[in-house]
Order: sequence, then structure tokens, then C-alpha cells
Amino acid sequence: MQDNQLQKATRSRGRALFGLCLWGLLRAADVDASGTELEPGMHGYGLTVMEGTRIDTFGVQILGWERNGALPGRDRILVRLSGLGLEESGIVLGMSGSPVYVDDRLIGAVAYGWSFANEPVGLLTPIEEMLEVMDRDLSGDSPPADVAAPTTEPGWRRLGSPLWVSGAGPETMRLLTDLLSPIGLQPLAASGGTEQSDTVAPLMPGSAVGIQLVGGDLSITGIGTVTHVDGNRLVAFAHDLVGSGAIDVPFTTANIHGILSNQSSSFKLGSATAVVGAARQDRYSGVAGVTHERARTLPMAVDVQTATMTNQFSFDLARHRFYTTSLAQVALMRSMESAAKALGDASVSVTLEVELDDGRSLSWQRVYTGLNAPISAALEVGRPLRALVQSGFEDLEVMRIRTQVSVDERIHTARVDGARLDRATVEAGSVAHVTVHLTPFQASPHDVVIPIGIPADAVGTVRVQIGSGRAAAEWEQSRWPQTAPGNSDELLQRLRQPARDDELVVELVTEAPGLAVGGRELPTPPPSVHRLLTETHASGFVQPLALKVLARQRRATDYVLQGEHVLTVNITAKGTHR
Amino acid sequence: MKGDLLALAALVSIWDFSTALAVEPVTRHHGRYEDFAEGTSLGVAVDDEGRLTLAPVPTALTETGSQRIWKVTATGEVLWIGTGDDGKLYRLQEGDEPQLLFDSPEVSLHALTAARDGGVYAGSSPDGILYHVGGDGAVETVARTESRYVWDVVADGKGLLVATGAPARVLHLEGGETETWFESTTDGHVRCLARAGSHWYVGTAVAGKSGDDAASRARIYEVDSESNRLLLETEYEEITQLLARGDTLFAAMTTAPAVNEAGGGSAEPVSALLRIGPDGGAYPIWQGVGIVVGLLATAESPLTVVLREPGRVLRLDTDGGNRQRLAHLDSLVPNSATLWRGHLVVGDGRSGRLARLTPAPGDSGWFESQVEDLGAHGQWGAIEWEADTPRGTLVRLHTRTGNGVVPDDSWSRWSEPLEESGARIPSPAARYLQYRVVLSGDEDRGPAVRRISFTARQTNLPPRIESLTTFAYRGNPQAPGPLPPQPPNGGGNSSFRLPQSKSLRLVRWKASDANDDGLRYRIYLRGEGQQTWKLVEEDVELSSVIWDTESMPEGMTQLRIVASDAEHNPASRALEDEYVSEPFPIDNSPPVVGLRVRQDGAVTVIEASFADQVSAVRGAGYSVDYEDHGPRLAAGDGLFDSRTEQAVFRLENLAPGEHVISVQAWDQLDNVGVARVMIDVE
Repeated sequence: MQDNQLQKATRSRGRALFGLCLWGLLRAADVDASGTELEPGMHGYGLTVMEGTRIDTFGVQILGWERNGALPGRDRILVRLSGLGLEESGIVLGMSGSPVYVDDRLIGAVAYGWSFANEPVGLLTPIEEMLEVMDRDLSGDSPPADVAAPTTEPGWRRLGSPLWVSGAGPETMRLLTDLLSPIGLQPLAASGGTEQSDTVAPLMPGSAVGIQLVGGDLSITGIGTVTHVDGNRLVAFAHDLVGSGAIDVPFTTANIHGILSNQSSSFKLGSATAVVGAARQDRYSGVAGVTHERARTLPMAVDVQTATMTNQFSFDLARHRFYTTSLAQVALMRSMESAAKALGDASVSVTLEVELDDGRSLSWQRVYTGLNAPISAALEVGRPLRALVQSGFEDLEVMRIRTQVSVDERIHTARVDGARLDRATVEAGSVAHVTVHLTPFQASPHDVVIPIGIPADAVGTVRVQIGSGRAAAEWEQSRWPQTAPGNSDELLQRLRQPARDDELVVELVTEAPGLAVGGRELPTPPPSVHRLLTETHASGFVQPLALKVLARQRRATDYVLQGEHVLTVNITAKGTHR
Repeated sequence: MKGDLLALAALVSIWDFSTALAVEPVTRHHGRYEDFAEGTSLGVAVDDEGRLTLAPVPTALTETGSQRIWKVTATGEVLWIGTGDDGKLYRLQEGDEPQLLFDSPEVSLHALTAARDGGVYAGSSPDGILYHVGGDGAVETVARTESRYVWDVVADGKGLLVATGAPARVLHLEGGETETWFESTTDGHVRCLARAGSHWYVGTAVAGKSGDDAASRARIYEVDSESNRLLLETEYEEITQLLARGDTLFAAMTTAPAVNEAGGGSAEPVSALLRIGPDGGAYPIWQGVGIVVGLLATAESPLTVVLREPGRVLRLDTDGGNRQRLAHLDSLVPNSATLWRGHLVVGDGRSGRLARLTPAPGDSGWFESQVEDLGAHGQWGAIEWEADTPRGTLVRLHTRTGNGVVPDDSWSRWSEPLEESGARIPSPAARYLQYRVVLSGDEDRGPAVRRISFTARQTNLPPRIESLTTFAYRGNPQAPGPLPPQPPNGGGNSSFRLPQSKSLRLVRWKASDANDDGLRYRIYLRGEGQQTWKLVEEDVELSSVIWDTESMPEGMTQLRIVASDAEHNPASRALEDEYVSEPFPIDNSPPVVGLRVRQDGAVTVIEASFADQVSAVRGAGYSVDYEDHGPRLAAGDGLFDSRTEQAVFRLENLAPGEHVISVQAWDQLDNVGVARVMIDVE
């Protein structure tokens, strides 16, 4: 009798009433935790949403087993699907997790298809593997555990979960694609947003479900299908999203707008509708989580100031060591693209402020100019964020991100064309003046005079380096190659070091043996101290330095500076004096 | 590891056998301070008289958990500990665990001095901050010195004197006011402060290696609020400690080469201790290897010196006399020392550990000698000692031997204790030896070892001749350099000839003896076709001779040199080595020249034949009418390379009359044969 019903169901995916009746019959179906009784030729059915939120059924014929496809012991069930137009569209991206029943028993869920396939043949993930995922810790308290996702079986393609993105412009989409495609996620533009809801959505086997990576003024959601529900626990997708282990990302209900057929692989058009829970495990055999709980997201605020107005944006980012930074970069890009522009002449000044859970904070400023200034800003903001999020320090937890952006639609750049000292020989303890010749873009050249104090204990030939703040940061990196920071304070200290392109820096450098201990510089220590600290019984704690910065002056300018110069000056001793 | 080997190798005592006969037993006596100075010990002191006595035993005091101890100082019952590389301040009271009182944001706390309120002042680096830390842990920043280092802090009546580095200054802090008493752009650091009499003295250190002479020397200045003057410019890089006793100042100074970046060894640091009188006169009272990290006056000794590299504690009188190495601190790298509750406390520079020495000697201790090197494998004989052993005290010795320079698993185990002086060393025959002296006594008395002597004899090893060469002697007898004095007479002709003769040959060989025994040589000859060697010279001391072969039979000859160490060994143990030369020619007779002349019209044709008995004819020439340099002849077969050769030459256009034609030929050893013919041209 069920076979007849299935045949009828496959004729029309629009028979909602029939599907609901079928759901009424099946929700009490047994879960097959062994799967060993399946034989080729057996028939069953599956559940999924092809339009709106209505659960439809499709037919399933067991073709056999795919043994040890990717990992030892990871068998997959080879099936042919039918009905719901699947014969024409092939297996549809977004069906991932669609439960499949045989003899009223849940045997697994749709997980893999075949690109450019002439018929809807795919693989099911056995339900017992998915239940293992659901039985893991779903409290959200698990430390993030990185697990490497096994490769998909040769020839098969994980159905994937298209990331539906709403609220993003074309440059933001391009950036998003660049950032997320390396981890196997495919962003697709969608319409609609997300609303928070405390009401428990009727998520049930076959329902469309979303994993929301970004919420707020930008929505990025991966959509799949619920496989099994047990109380407030559920498992979906039948494969991983990115295979990152323990996670804490919002679960949403989703609305399917239709099916887009494609020769390579068709997919469901959809968008997130309401946050209803939290995904807590992202494993090779599925994504599991709970309803009634909120994921702990990372709030990010962006203010974009232009000549005429200030726009404010807010986002909720999924917390994850590997993709939170990319999501923040995309959110920043989306804000700039929305409030100002993404391409063309512009100068962008960015201030990033990061609050940590223990009250510490990081403030980081940079300035960019040129045709790609916004994208440069979005990409570079990722550097300090990534350093914090991926630091691995136990006491470093980012609580909030705030970014202030000022966009001026003109180019402000200048070349450092030359520099000269007022004297070739200066006395220790005196002040020397460095005249720097700047040639701005589409403006008149002019000089900047920077006084710099000569330390009283300096003596001999000294190098004078002139360049931008970024160049100075590179000089410093060359003088003092930074090893991995030893603790979170050291990391924050390094990230705070200025490297602004619109700063003009003059510094005096001399050869002098020094040391760095715990990220702090110990210049020219006495011989007995130097000897003790550089004894060879230990490595990695003390770093020898060959150069010492005698003095450094910074001067803010209105330009992003290019070019650098080096002079030498002879410093004569001041002598012993009172 | 390489560094260790080098360091250990430096502790090996190599016996000088150049003046001793290897086969004879040699006795070495240890009875001076220097003989024991390179040994290690635990609970045994070495005094100026070269005596080994029981001494205090260093014991572990506590462990802070920091990477290193930079400073320890005591006030009453409290010991304050400043650490690196975490910049922490601990307070320790007897019987307690160290209490972390202040975790500064700095790398190091180098300077500590007690505050009147029961707290402590702590100076830091690299931000050069002076903190006040109360007994309750309340922290107050007293001064930011604007130098990178605070090296010393001393209370001065109502105020504080602060010594800083980078730049080098002395600041006077009083009532919230800061006054600069001293500032130097020539010196890199002010490392230490001391008050002697009514004057303050500061010791400086260089800032790295500037290459500038003036900036490469540590100095001592006399300073006060009104003026300062340079008291002493040293040959060292750093004044590490100053100690005032009355109006006399004691200054410890060091030169500490940087550790090789590649991890190899570097030169040892060296230090000196100077006594500076009130008149400014300075003279050294001690110098040696290491870095002085503590200089104190104790109830037991006017001067107690704590050193690192290697770690040890010395006692001296104020004139440098009566020196005593009180303790060897093998397990520590001492970095700071102070007196606390009557004990000497030492902080470790490589860990957060502290150790202390009680003032009284322990009831037992041991001393291990440096590794004694016999120079070659040998037999060890008796070991005896002289010791004062009051009733209830005991001296025992152990020995061990090995053939590697570093005592390791390849060495024998320590022998069973030897309790009777003069016992035979029970350890196996080997090249190296170490002895251990164990002293036992009680709280009131202990033994004193005055001398240890031990005897050894090298195993005789054969000499070795590595090469032998001989060639015709062409040298100028007036040329500089030794001339071998006595050629072998080669067959009975004892007449001595000046060595310009072309019959002279130089014979030279290279020989050695593992025992450094003096060698004597015998020289044998064997001529062509002879079966036995003929002794031509014996008891030759040198390794080369000039040999006149004029009276020797001509022909291919061989030399055999026999080296013997019999002079330095009894006949039963004497050993020899020999070396036989390649065959070489003895040829003192010239080639025979034969001439035939025929006339071919106006042309005179001369046919010459040459024959030598031993060596090849190497060339020929002719002259007409005694001309000085006649032309050379070409060999008939194209090459002068055999003992018989021929040549033909033609003389044309000779003037009518009588002519004398001379033909010369010479062989491989420059023997020249001449023939002449007289012709009459019509």
C-alpha cells in the first residue's frame, strides 16, 4: 500500500495534504540502527521540502552498498530517487539530510549525488552514524575541536549546502566566495532576512533547516534538511558543513522558494526565517543541535562615515576559529559597499576595536587609498582578527567587535621623494632636524621637518631611516624577527604596534648587541647579564638582537605614503658630565 | 656537549714526561691550593695551605618556579627574592613556601633593598621602574627612571640612591624629588653602589662591545651630591660588586665574553678583586676564572666571594691572604648571594631555586680531583696521603680510571675505599685517573688532608719511523740551519770531508715515540747484490745525517734505519722500529768519453761515445780551443737517459792550424768525464 502511495506522491510534489498525511503515518516510524537487512531492490520513501515549508515525499529504491567509501567502516547506501521531479532535476542541493524510510524504518538520509548525472542516483548516510553525532555533547560547552573532514568518495559529490546570502552586494559576494570556497562552502545570493524567535518552530524530519553563519544586517545561511528529531535534539544534513567538530552556530527554520535546475547540480532556492536553536556538532555524518537554546554569537558593529552621513550596521557572527574572521571581513565589506562604495578612487581609514571577555581590548588603525581601498581594508582587518581568534591562548576570548570606517572618495597618497639632515655630525644629547620631501598625488610637493632627539649616550655612525609607519613596521620585523608570542598579552602588544601608512616615521638605528626576553627588548645589557641570558642550555626564550633603535619620531600626514630613504649621521660623544 | 667536553678537557692535568723517563715510575704530589683548585667538592674546603678540610654543605632552600633568580636580599627574618624572566617578587620566611608578593609587568627585578616600613624597594628592567612593595603586597611606583635598567638601590639616610643602566645614572630620591647625582654617556650602566667612609662609589659596565676604547672599560667613580670624579679605570668590562669595609673599598670586576651563537664554547669569563684604600690606591688581591656575583663580609671571613662559571664560594682576608675555597656549587649557577639568618643564601641564574650554606662545617664531605692524565696508557702504583685524623675522624680514598678524557660509563667504578696510606691503586691500568677523598668527622672536629701522592708508570709503546728520504747534498755549508754533525764513514774511511763534496748525501727520517722516550738510531747499508745489512753507524741521536759516499762501492744501494727506545727503558722492555729506503745510486765516477775524428772535406766530424757504470748519462757538450761555454750536444737517440749514449757533431770552417776539441759528459750525480783530441786543419 505504501508503494502505491509513494507512486502517487511522486507524480505531484504539490499534494501537500497527502504529504502531511504521510508524515502523520511516518513520524512514529522506527529508527533502523543496524541497516543490515537492506537488500538491493527494496523500496522506500523520503521526506523533503521542495517549496515553502511543506514536507513532500519522494521514492527511494535501494541499489546496494558503497563499502568503506572514504573511511574504514563508513559505508554508504546506494539509492535511486524518484518523484518530485527528481528524474529531471537530479538530486537537489539542499536535500542533504532528507530522511529515507524502508518498511517504516528510518534507514538514513540523502547525503551525496553525482554531478551531471542523468538519473537521481545518490548515497545515503546510514542513520546510526547520524545518531552518533546527535548523541555527542550538544550543550555548547565543548571546547572547539578541529576535526579533519574525510574526502568525499571518489566520483561522488557531497551534496553540499548552498550558503544563501541576503543583504550582500556583488563585491561582497565576490569576497565571500573567495574567502569561503576554500573550505567547501558555496555562497549564493538570496532575498529575505532572519528574525529571532523564541517560538519553537515545528522542525521535524524532512523540514528545511538553516545553519546561520551571519545574522543581522547580512544573512548567510546554509540550508539542508532535518533527518531526525528526538525531544529538543535534532540531526540534519547527513554530512558535515565544514567538518569542524564542536561548534555553536544558530539553527534556523528556512523557507524554500523553489528548485533551480542546473545541468551540473540543481539546488533549492531558500532563505532563513527564524532562529530556533543552536547547532553544536558539525561532523562527517551530519550536523546535530538543539532547539530552545541560543548559540553564543559574536556581535560586530560597523559605522561607516562618508562625506554626507554615517551608517550603522550590526551583525551576529558565528564563532569559529577558522571562519569567524572571514565572516567579519565580509560584514565589513558589506557595510562599506552599502554605505559608500566598493570600487573606484577612495581613501579608507579603519579603526578596529576588539573587546575581550576579561576587559582587555585592542585598538588597531590603518588607512588605505586607491581603486581597491575598501577591499584592502576588509582583507587587512582580517589579520589582527585572525591572530586573536586563532591564537590558541586559553585566556583570549573575543566578546565584541566594533569597526569605524571613514570613506573619502578621493585618493590621498604621496611619495617620499627625499630626505636630508641639517648636519652630518651631531652631538649626543642634541636635536637633529630631518627634512622630508613629499610629492602628493595631484597636489604640490612640500617639505616636512621632523626634529629628533639624539640620545645622550649615543655615539658613532648611526643610520637614519625615513618612511611610512608600515615601512617602519617592516624595519622592526627585520631588526627583531618576531617568534610566536608567548602569551596573550604579548600578542596584544604586538598587534597594537602602529603601522599606519599615513604616518611619517624617522628613526635612528645603530649596531648594538641586545636581547629580547618574553617579547620585551633588553638593549645592550652588561656583559655578565648578556652571557647568562644567552647560555645555550635553553632555546626559544631569549632572542639576540644586533640593532638598537636609538630614537623614533612619528608624524601624522594626510597621505598614504610610499617610498623610504636611509641616511647616516655621525654622533659625537657628549662626555661625562653632571 | 662540545662545550662540556672543552670545559672538562680544561680540567685535565697533563703530566710532563719530557723530563722523566717513561719507564720509570713517576710520583705526583698534591699539596698546594693550586693542586686542588680545579677539583670539585661537596662539604670539603681547600685552604691556602693546600689542606682539605670539612666545610659547610650547600643545601636546597626553596624553589620559586621562576626562570632565574636575579637578586636576593634579607631584612631580619624575611628573605626577598627578585626573579626573571617573569619579574616577580617573592617573600620567604623560614619554614614557609615563598610567597608571591608582586607580579610585575617587567622582565626582571634586579635590585632589592629593604624599606623602613617593612616593605622593600624593587628596581626593574626593561622599563627601569623603581617600585615600593609593602609587606602586605601593596605596590607603588616610586620612580620611572627613564633608564632601561635599575641595577642597584641603596638607602641613604632619608632618601634612596638608585643605580641605572642605559643610560648610566645615579639618581637620588628624597621627599618626592629626584636629583641626578651622576650621569655618564661613556659608561653603559651603573651596576653597583657602595659607601666607604664618607664617600659613595659607583661601579660601571660597558654597553655591549662598542669597539671604542673609552667605552670598553669599566670604571669606579666617587660621587656625591655636589661632584663626582673618576677613581679607577680598569682593564675589565664590568664592575659586578662593590663592598665597603670601613674606609676601604673592595671591587669585583669581570670580562665576560659573549656565548658563541653557534652554541660552541666561548672564552671563559675572568674576574679580579681589587682592594682600594682611602688614598685611592688599588691593588689586586685575587684573580681567576668566573664572574663574581656576590661579595660579602661575614662573621667567619672578612671577604666571602660567590662566583659562577663555575659556581663556588671563596673566603679571603682583606689582603687576599688565607684564601679558602669553601664550597663548590656544581648544581647551581649562582647569580646573587646574601646573608640570611646567619646562612649564606645563593640564588640560581638558571632556575628559580635557592640554596644555602650553614656557617659550620658538616660531619662529612668529599673532594674529587681533576682528571689526571698519564699521557699514555699506564700502570698505577701506590697512593699515599698525609692527614691529621683526630680520634673519631677518618680519611678514605677512592680511585677510578679510564681511557676517555671525560669520566663516563667507559671508566671503571669508584674503587672500594682505601683506608691505609700507601695502598696500591686498585683501579685498572689506563691513561686517566681520578681520586676521591672522603672526610668524616663530627660537629666539633674533622680530619685535614695535607698531601696526596700517587705513582704511575706508562706502558712502553714502540717508536715509529714514518718516513725516510735521501738525496744528493747540494747545500751550502754556510747556510743557516743545523748541519748534521757526523756522517757515517761508509766503510772504514774515517777522514772527515767538508760537506761541499758532490759525494755527499743527506739522509733524513721522521720518527716519534708515544711515550715521548728519547730515541737512538742505527744506520745500516746494503749494496747492489748484497744479502746482509752492514751497520755503518749507531747511537745516532738526530734524525738526519750527511753521508760522504766517496769511498763507497758504486751501484744501487739501500739504507735501513732502526729506532730504539732502549736508552729510556730496560732491555727487557725496550722496543724498536725500522724503515728501509728505496734503492738509490751511489755513483762517484764520471762517464767515460770516447772520441773518433774524421775529416769530410773542409768539415771535421767528431763521433763521441759516453759510458757510465752506475747512473744515466744526463748530458754532454764540447768546446773548441778551450772556449768557456761550448755548445751542448744532442743525444744520438734523441734523449740522454741511459748509461751509454752517443753523439756526433760537425765543425766547419775551422781556421787552418792546430785546434783542441774537448768533449764533456756528466751523469745523474753530476760526475763529469772529459776527453780531448787535437786536430790540425790544413
